[in-house]
Amino acid sequence: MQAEEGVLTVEVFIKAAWTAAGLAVVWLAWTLGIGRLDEPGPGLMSFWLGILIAAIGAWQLFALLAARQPSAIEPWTRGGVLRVATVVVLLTVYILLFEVVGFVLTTFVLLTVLFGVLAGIRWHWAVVLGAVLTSANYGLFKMLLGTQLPTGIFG
Amino acid sequence: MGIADGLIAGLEVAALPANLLFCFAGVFLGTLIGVLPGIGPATAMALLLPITVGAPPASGIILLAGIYYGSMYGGSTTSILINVPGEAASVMTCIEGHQMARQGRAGPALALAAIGSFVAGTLAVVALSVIAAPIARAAVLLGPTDYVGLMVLGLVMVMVISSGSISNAVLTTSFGIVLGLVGVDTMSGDQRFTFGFPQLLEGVDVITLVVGLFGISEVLQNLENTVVRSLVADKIGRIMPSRDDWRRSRGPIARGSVLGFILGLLPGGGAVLASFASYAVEKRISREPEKFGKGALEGLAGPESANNSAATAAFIPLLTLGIPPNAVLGILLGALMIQGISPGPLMMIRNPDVFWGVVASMYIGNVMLLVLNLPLIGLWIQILRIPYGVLFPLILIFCVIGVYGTVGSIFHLGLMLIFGVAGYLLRRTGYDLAPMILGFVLGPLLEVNIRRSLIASDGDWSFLLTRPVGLVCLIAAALLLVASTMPAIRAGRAALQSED
Repeated sequence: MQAEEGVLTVEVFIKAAWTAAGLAVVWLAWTLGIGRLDEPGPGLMSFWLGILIAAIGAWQLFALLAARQPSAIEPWTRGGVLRVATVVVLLTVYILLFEVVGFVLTTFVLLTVLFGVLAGIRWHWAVVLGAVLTSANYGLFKMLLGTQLPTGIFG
Repeated sequence: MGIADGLIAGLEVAALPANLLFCFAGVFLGTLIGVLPGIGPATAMALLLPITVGAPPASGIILLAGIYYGSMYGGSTTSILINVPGEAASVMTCIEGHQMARQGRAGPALALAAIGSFVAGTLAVVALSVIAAPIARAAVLLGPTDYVGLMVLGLVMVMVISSGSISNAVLTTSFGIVLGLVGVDTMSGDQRFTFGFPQLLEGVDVITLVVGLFGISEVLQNLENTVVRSLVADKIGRIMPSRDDWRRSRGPIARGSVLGFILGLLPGGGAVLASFASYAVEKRISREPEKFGKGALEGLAGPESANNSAATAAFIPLLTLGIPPNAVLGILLGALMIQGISPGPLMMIRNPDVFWGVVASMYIGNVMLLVLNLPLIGLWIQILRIPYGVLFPLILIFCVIGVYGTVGSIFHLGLMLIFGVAGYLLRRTGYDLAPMILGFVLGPLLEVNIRRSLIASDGDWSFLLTRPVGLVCLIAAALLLVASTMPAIRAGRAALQSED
């Protein structure tokens, strides 16, 4: 029951977000200028698309709230949500430090933590795997293909 | 340039050592991606898109095209051996192929899937070589109104065959079009939806969007759902099919090739639709329909041929009209545009090396795929044993390198993460993201054509009814939308989704 309520909350949030996004598009398109039919402005198409998004979003939200039960979506599990949240947080930190600290160190730490925490690999193997794969990626992309990657504190 | 001259020139391009290497890399990676459940061809192309930026145009497109049709081959291995479709077009292969594997006939199932794919893929390339030029010549006569009709039909087709409800597909398509309009308006010079960020002046970067929506969100979704795999690898046995297997599979392969090619040509059509249609046809005409679902060889050979044929045919609307019929080829369109190539009727004249080079590389690629998928089947089985826990961190790193390597900004990495999380939540709540990508790619073209037509017609909307091709497409799109709300069609879509 709790899981179903969780799904319903997320669905309500998604439908409400669609409605809000549609309204925002309508307003932004209006400020851009929709022009006239013989001289269409830069906001014309987005204006009508915004109305469509807002209308369908609102209709879906209304239907969901009236039914008071989520559509056929599998409930979230505590473990699943935790894994997803962990990756999102780690990726956010990784991206924030990417240019400052540099590709090599941030990637090594990220890979090691992901292997150790989420893949359940023993820590000493996670460190080895992290080091090997970071080196392989650096060798392949930076040295072989010439891809731009930040050097950070090692620059 | 005639067809024969074009093909000879194309073979000269495709046979260059560098292009052979790109072709091999493409079909190898495509097979790998097809084999690995949880990574689709769209994700793979998104991840490799940045690498193609620095390569010559023909080489880059040969690589990406190889990934697409290569994934159709690889998808069957996973379907047959672990009953999980490696990519969406292999769903039907799971049904009969895995049953055959459980009966100890995994070898013939894998062989027939590969041979059917090879025959259908090769026949489709021959047909592509022959009809692409006439279609391109006819397409020169099309005006903006016709293009509006074709694009609307393509978008509606993708909405109708996407998973999730039609209203969800309309939402994602519309939002995709709005995303495509971000940046400086080419007609007025005004900034649209940039919120003062200079990084958005040139629009939302296609790589950032696709890597976020497909790469990151797919990883997040797979992390949440830990799939239990049952690998039937110890029962492969003899690979070559028996004489009776050959006799029974000839018809389905031929029918699947033709049906797949026709469905692949349609805007919005593609490999998934073709494999479902072929399965339905084979079951309907079979003298023993009760055997379907229990390892019927016809239900494996037909759909596998159809999805390969359709994957190849889908290049025709992209290369000759500039309209990608599905999301994966939408990414390819993005790649062509990054290279400064506008696919369409004039591509054969302006970029014959790319056009014919890619077509010729498909002949070579299909032969490479046959070799990769039969003698090297043991390699793919070993790859299937790699746990997802080891794969996903690498995919994340590829995503980051892919985006940063192309645009070189933290802003875009943040945008990629936002698209990834949004894509995950949308997928999780029943939204298919393919229409969003197609809307994003076609949106700016659609808008420019509508605005130009409105200006030319002095604001009279009836311009939409003045051109036969455009009118037929718009009527077809309207009929499709109406039909998709009918109970019988809705039940069919629901059945498709439950299979997915």
